[in-house]
Amino acid sequence: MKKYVALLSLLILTGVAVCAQQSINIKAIVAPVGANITMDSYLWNIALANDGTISYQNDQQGVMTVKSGSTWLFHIDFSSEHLGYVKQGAYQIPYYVQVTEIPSSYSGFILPSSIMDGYVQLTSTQSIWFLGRTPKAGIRFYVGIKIDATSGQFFESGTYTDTLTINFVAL
Amino acid sequence: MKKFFVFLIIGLVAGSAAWGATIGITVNAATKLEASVDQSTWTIALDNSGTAIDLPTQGQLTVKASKSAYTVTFTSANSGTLNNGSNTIPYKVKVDTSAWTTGVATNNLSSYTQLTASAVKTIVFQSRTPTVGKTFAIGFNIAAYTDYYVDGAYTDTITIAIAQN
Repeated sequence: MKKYVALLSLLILTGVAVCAQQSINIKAIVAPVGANITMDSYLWNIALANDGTISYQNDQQGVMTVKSGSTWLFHIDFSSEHLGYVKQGAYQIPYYVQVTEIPSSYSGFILPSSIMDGYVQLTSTQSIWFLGRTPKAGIRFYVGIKIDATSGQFFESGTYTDTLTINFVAL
Repeated sequence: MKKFFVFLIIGLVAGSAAWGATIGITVNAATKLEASVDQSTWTIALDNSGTAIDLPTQGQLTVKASKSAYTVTFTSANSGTLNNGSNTIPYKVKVDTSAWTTGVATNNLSSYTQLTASAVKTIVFQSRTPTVGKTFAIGFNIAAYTDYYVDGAYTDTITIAIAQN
């Protein structure tokens, strides 16, 4: 009899688990209302002196606004099409990005991350995790970019490009 | 219970939702193409003795380039002769690029050559220079002669240009 009770309990537990799994799916598929990432500019044109001495650095190259909408647990991911390089055919130049929070009344938590600690090359995805909903107007960040000069060397002159993607991921 | 965890993990992955923004980054690396010489005037004494003049380091050419493919061109205003009215003295020049063989594809001036108008003399490069540039010796030559040249000052102008290929 005990075996049946145990088996029945297990079946019920499994059933609950299945229900729990389904409810998780349903919750997640519903997009948080009003969640998005916007930039003040989606095209960055940078003039590089290319004299082997002067680096390019603009800590406020762009302003990013993050709105959580109704979700309270989310992260934003930064990735680069060319893994942290701008490219011109076979030629490439490494670049680095940094995210700096613009002081606001955000009462949630932003977990420590490399991309907020300093400039990093996007050789892999860099994430910033958030705990807590943002104000309706969102919270703003500066996105900076840096390109180091290679001492005594020219870069092949010309136009280099990359695509920086910022994803908002709600959990 | 294994099923529970499997379903839960799948549920979380499938349940994540993402929105994104993309930024197009364009970097324009400035172009540097420069050919310069250490002296813009050469004053050469010709003693009219008939002996050849050979000055393999008469001048220095410095090339700076941020492009991998470019050409330096030498032309003479008088087609490779020094002129004094209707009197002329033929001369030749050379540019010694032997110290940078990996950077030079072809050099029409590797040995003494007269800058005649019939064929433009070029040095074709295939590598960027360092930012300080690459420096090459320019040689000057007047061949030995048996007849006196008429006394006086003879002049010509050599123009050195650089352009990307």
